[in-house]
Amino acid sequence: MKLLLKKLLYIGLMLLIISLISFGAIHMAPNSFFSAGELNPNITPETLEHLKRIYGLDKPLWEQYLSWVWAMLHLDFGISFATGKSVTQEIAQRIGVTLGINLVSMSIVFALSLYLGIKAALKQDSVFDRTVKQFSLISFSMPSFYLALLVIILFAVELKLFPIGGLHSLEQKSGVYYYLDIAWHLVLPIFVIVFVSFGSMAMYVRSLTIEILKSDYIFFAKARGAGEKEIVKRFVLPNLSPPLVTVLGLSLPGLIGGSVILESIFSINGMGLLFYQAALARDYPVIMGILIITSFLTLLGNVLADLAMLRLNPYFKRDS
Amino acid sequence: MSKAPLFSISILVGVILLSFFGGLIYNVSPFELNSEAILLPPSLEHPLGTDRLGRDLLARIIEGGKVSLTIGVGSAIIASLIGIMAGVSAGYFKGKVDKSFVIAVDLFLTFPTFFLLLAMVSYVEASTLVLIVVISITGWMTTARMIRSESFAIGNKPFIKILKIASVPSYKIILKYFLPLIAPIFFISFTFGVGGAILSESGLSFLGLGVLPPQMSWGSILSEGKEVIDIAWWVSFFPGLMIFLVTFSLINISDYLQSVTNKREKII
Repeated sequence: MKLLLKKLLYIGLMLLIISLISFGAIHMAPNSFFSAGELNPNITPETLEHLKRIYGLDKPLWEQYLSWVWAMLHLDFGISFATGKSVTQEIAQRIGVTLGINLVSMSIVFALSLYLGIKAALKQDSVFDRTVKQFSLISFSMPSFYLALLVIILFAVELKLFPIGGLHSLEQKSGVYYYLDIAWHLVLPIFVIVFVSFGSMAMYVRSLTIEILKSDYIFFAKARGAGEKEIVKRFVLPNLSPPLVTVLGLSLPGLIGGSVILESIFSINGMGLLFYQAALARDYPVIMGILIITSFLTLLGNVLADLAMLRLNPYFKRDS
Repeated sequence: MSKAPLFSISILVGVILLSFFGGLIYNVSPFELNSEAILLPPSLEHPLGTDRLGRDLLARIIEGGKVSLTIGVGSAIIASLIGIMAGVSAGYFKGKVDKSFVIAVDLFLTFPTFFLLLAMVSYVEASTLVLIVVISITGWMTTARMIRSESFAIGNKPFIKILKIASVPSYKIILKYFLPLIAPIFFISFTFGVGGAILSESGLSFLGLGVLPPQMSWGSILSEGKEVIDIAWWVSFFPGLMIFLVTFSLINISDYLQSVTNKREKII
């Protein structure tokens, strides 16, 4: 319990620093939305002042910061400069798509890496092991956008098996077909995410498993005649879970960051695309809203990972 | 013990030679427009074809390679230096220094790196130098963490403890005893970092936030090719292939160094 409180305090501190940094950085930026040529060039100084007053940009910085934080605590991230809509709504509409895609891809990555990594570790230095390793290195060095372009050329343009982008077909479908249609659109993006991320995970699982297999209890399990399956089920998997849960918590920012590229290639209207458009238009409220939300999600992920760790590994309970 | 990755090393050396000296042999301007030769497929005259303004692709890849490699190496140097300084001081001094180190790393890891890059590049005009700075301050954490855990291990060794008791000044202990022991891990994460930085740069360029024309990098050439991808695959295929080959070789070499020095740290 005390630990949970400590963790929550830590999240609070982190969020405070992050909000200060992002607020400061973006407000000191030389190119503001109001000078970026986004507006009508005939605008009068009075109208400009009026606009700034509407958005609260005429007040001193600390007041802007405090009111921003206060509003954020009520889940109000302000109004987008570019579209005039509420940032909360804009994000809420898109966050599901991005999280959904990443959740599905991450589950596949995990299952695949566990299978490949453990098998490679059990048969260390075999042909299978070396093949997995080469593929992992390829996966690691493959730029996601390059792979995306290649699969688009091959499967969408040449073979016409999958759509080039988007989430839905032009004609509206209903019922089961609606979801099948979405799934069909997401095959290529999810394939790309899985391909570029399984490598590092599989290598990690492999090296962890090799360490586990070196331990004495495995030696004795083997001595009393335990089979490979039993060893994996009873000793390897339980020992793998704590470090993997930690990695899962840490991989969130990278995944959401990667969504920026993938969503813009496959024109999927998710949070990544929203952030990209906002960054190009210098739409501060949207940029800051997304930064804060993703940081919050990451921190939450880390804390959940830590808590899961306590359940999975009794050793830590004794420690704290 | 694995074999030396000769294949990767020769690819890497080949690409470096091509980028920095290829222009001397292949004397074609990467900037010259030619309305007679728009989107030509690879041929004898244009070995890798031409782009949609009729510019020779091989010449552009040679020119872009200079920028991509410079950014990759430059960012990795700065990131490793930050990583070494932060990692060694956290591992050597421990206590409060280490606590603030953990907070700083957590902070940088919490921000999605790519978002941070996007946010920064969206208000500072991108140039080679800016990209180097931006990529290195978002990419020093892995090195720093590895060096921190290594420094902890070194700091616990008896001879370091004796040196501390003998009140040898800290900077002497660090320079004379820590750095040599850290060197292997440094080179591993450096080769790894160059690859990562080239990937980051190409990702930014791909989104149109990299170097500005007329300058070019592999990422920006690839990005220009994505609009004509259905009629001219070569414009994006070849620069992408260069990015992939270089990162793949670097990571292979880094992996080899790991197995030679027996420092199989978990890089993720």
